[in-house]
Amino acid sequence: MDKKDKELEAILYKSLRLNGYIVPVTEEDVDIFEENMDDIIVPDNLPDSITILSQGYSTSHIVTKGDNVYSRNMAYAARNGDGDNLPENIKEQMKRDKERAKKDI
Amino acid sequence: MQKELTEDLLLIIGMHEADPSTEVESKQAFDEFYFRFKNHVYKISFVLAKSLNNRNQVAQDLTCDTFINVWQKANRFNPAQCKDVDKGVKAWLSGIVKHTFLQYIDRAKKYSPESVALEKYHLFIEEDVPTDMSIDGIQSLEGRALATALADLKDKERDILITYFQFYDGTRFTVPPDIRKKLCQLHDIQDSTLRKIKDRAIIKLKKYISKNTELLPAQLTAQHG
Repeated sequence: MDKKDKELEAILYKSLRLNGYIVPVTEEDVDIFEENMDDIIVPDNLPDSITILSQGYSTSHIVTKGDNVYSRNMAYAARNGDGDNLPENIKEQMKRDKERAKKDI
Repeated sequence: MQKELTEDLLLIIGMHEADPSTEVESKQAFDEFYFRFKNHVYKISFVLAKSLNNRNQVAQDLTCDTFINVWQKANRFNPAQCKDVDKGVKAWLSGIVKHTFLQYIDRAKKYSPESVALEKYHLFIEEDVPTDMSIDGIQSLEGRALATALADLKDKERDILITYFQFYDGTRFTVPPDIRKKLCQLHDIQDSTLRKIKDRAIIKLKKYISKNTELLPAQLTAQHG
């Protein structure tokens, strides 16, 4: 990527920031960001400050389970409505994938 | 603590590091600081977690984790660099949320499902409010023009472009692999296609800017043409 492309990126980055589309970086960005994010509802059941300190860092809730070959094959079968008509080798592969997925959990 | 200035609250929070006997007072200050800024931190977290399935839960986790980082590093904030301390704190917190998000993603791979003891984490938190000098001299699109330009993009292009810029560090895009993966799932595309869509969106915006504004001739043609 040449310098011109980099400058275009910089223009876009600054435009997105100053107009509140992305996370604010400077004091100048903060007001616009907050205006744009006014409709985000903050839940009223956030833990209190003492609980936060006593619990320590959160267990990550990013869901990665289920994103595997087994799931994709199942989804494929479901989409095509032919779960019972799959070739034997695919069924065997799905069975192995299912076992592997269980071990990963 | 309700009447304390924000910079004083951070000073009081930071005292517990040097003198553990002040922990009770530090926690009181922390409680007030949390009350003042939790909404801002949650909203930043919510924006960053945009592509993830359980967005609300992740945003809540990030909010909590960010304040733990504040508890540990409160004395890193330098109010002398701020025109408005409360806005400066919000910008500083935004940077911490971003770092916390990257740690959170990393932890999803390494430590799930156990929780993690605080002392195991060596945190990188920006020392000061970022000055972002690198783009100070660069012009930008005003709100309506940007909104119009973005409206010309397909939903998929706009979503991917904004997510990429969420993780732009001034020189390159550093979108975490897990976020890329979620984007791919969301839009039913391959990882290799993501970057192409981002590049295509940038080209479309470039055409819009060239046609409708004076930004590109000044920035790109006159200086480097």
